[in-house]
Amino acid sequence: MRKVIALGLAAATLTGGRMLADSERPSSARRAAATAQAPASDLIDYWTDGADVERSGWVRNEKILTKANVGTLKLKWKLETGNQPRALHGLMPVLVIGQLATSAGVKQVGIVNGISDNLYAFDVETGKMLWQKHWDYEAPAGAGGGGGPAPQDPRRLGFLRPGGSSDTPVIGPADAQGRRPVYFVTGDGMLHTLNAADGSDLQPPFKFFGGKGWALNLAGNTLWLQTTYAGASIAAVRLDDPDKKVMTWNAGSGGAWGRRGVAVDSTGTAWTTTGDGVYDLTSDPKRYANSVVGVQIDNGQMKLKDYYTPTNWEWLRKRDLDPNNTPTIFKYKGRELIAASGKECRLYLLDPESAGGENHQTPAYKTSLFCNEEVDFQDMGSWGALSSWEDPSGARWVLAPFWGPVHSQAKFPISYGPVKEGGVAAYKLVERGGKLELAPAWVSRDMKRGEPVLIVNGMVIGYGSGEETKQSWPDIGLVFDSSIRAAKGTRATIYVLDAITGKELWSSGDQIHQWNHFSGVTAVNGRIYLSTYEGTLYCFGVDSAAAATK
Amino acid sequence: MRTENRFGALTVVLLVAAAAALHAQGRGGAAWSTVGGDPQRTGWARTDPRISKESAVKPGLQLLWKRQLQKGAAALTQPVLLPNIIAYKGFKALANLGGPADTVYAIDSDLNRMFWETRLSSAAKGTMPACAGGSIAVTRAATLGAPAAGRGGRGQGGPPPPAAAAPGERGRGNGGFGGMFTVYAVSTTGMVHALNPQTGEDINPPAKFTGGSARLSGAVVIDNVVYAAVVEPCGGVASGVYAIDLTENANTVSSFDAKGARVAGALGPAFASDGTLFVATGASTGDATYANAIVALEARTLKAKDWFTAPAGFTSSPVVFTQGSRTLVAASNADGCVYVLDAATLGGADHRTPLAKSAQFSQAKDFAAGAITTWEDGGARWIAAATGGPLPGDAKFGQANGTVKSGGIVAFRLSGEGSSTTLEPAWTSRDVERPGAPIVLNGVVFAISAGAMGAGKGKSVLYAFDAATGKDLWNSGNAMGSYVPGVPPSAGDGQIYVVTADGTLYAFGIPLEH
Repeated sequence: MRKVIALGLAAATLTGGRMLADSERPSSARRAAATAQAPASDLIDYWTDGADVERSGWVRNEKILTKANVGTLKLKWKLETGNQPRALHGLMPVLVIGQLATSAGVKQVGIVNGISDNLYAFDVETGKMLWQKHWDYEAPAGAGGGGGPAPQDPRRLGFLRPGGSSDTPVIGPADAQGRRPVYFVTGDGMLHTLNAADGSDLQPPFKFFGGKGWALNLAGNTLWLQTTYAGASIAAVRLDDPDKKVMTWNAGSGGAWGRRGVAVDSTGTAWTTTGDGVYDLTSDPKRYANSVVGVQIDNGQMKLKDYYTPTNWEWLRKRDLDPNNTPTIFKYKGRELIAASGKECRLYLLDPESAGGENHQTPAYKTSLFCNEEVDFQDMGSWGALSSWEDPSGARWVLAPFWGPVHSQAKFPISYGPVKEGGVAAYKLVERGGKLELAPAWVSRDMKRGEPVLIVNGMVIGYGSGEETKQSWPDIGLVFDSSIRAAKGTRATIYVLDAITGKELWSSGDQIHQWNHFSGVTAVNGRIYLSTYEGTLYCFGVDSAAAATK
Repeated sequence: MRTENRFGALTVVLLVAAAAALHAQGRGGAAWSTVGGDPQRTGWARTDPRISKESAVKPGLQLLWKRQLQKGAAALTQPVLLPNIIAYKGFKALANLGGPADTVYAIDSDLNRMFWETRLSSAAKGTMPACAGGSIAVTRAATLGAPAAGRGGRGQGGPPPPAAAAPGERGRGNGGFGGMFTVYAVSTTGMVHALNPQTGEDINPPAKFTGGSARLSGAVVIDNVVYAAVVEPCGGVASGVYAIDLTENANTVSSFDAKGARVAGALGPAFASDGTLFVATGASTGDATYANAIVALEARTLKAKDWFTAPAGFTSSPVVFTQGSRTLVAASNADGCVYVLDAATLGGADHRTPLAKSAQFSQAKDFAAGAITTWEDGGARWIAAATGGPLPGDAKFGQANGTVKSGGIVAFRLSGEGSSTTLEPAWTSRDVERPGAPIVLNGVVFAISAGAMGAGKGKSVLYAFDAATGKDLWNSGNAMGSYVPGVPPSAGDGQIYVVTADGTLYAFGIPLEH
């Protein structure tokens, strides 16, 4: 039996939604809270993880956060949501609606979900909870390490299968009544359509798809869910379908791990990467692990449109170096392209019209390795998602987060000292001899486990998660119990870099007191959001006066 | 003159990889789990993801890498393979072997990178007796059943797996420490070390095993018991077989005293599925009770259960295999023949009656390859052995691949049942100078020239033959810069490993694109 708990505005100070008392906040945060809001016309939405359906990570229309005022970023507030961690998961990336009519007036509203089937809405300006919902349902939800029985303590769940609601929601356009729907899949696979203003159901929930879901993507009327551990890699439903027919496609082998879910190209094809597993076209059904795959909906059926499998997939398989990032899709001189990467730590450039050529194994270009010289699936490689942007000169950039040291043979023209724990690698798309290449441009300063980035007004917003990523230790071997890793995490740190040079412009230093796992940074409307394992949401913002003179 | 057991002049390292042969499309291939490939000492790797009789020719085998582990004359032991360990630095394929001065190595065998190197804490600090030869033995746990599909993969896209990981699922929980992955090493001073497979560090304090300065062969761990043979009496340690039960650190030692008989072969005892050990012997310096024999020993207690006595000493370790419902034991003998025995009654009532005996294929009385190999192909059971000189004039094999002058590989097909069991001469290889013991990998027989125990000269060449016909498939030419000191190759996951007397480890195979 499903039980839904909905708390209204007044409930923000109750149970898990404890707000910090004003006296608990840094004095700078108190000052910031007292400053005037930015002009409403400047406020935009950050409605989906990765900023758009192509998963560029490029927040194109940001009007407040600039290079000129980035140095004024201060902690505005932090909100303790009380979300119960499961395995290593806490909160997912924040979504923001620039202007939303609520019962308390028009507000800039943030939406964030917690792994334990929680959804929170907060007032961006004050950091106060507007509403929160929690769903209970009968397990199965999560599993122990290696598929064994789930432990009682959800923090000790196996890190591969946390159960719960791991998908980042997506916010749809306003309906006829001006209401903004929030689409969110709970751990039981139910799709909820909620009014962003108050959390009420706009539609009756229905069974969509379960598993370990990643960020939802809404392209037109089609809602996409990339998932794993559920018997399908990608699920989709047309929101205008009265029958709510769920369409799926299964890679047959290899999970889908790209954190921003699928990226959708201009033809409506959804692209993602398939993880560790077997590539075998002789099997029935065929298996497409270690690949970049594109699926499309044809006559109500989801079908594989095209794919690219690296020629060294057996090596990737052997060492668990699969492509595990959400690809990013962009246009260059009118031509649509895909960039993808993974734990092996090289970039692939693909043409969505023929992703791997006739043999499905020939990319338009692939870089040499830029990290993971150790060949380590756990502490190194590129994880999460790629990002892309176009600078004012028309140059196209691709940005890859990574863990561990830079490869000794990688040659970046610009660097900022030794990189041991991770960082961000920037490549520029160039043409040489009539062919496209991704040329190394810069590599960032060292970050403890570089995570997927956003690009805002010529700046790269990234962070080091501070997470302990090791899965096997010399003394205890391979252990799934997430609490062991959790105890070894440090702190997350946000970095703002110059997108052209990689130079550090600002960092959160030691202000965030804990690490996070597979979450994501959000930057919009002059504010940057990041959360921690224990469910604390941090909001940094530029000084309002500086914002006004941007 | 008896040929010197060159193994004894080496630092003998015997490592047993996980017993499970990994799925061909999983991470890594079959595990070469101990010297001789498995506790039965078959020398047979059943499958391989890249090496076959076709691929050996085209695209062709090649030298993949080499690494000199010790400079100068430095004896290395047969590498044993762990094709998949989830270590603190990621998935690793490790080759473990030993070298001089009680050194144990773990090398990433795909990348030719040293993963760890350690010198055993109980290493000899003074001068060892000449008979000792500075030998150590290293092993990991093995099982006696047939190789099973391993936990080769991750398979995260499918529905939740059953509690027991299915083939293709990542074998988490056992990836790094303890159990099947612990490396056991016996030092030159006869102490057993349990080493962390990720670091080479001692897990427990070393335990006294044989003590003294015995020359060991064929170490293996089965059901928490470390077994090894002491090749010949030395330093107060009797020749025979020793066992130490490490269960709950009991460290109880049992032994079988060969009463002065030399333990034959390079691979020590071979094991039947019920745990019975079979050890081959040569001449004795004292009591002849167990000389020139194959002796069956009870598991753990090592009490002698049965024996077969031959007219001459054996020149190889036994191999154990099944034929129908029977368990058979085979070994080569100094009389130039292979003997096949029924494990249930080794020599009949008189202990001198074999189940079958091959035609003579070798006349080189001083030649001992140290091991034979056996495999199945299409239901047929094969046995291959090495000869150190020309074939006898009356030898008649079904297929010859040139004149055998200085040595070669011969293959027999086992046929018939019961008392009508025979060894049918099937093929002879091209001429190979005093070859070492052959092995078989996925239908390809590999043998090394100048690789027999005591061969000791020149530069060795690795040869590949079609296991069904003996036809030449490939050879390594002049890739190796030294000879192989009586150490058979090992193989798995697309690579064949050879150690040479100058302390170099070679990896041949079919490249895997990285």
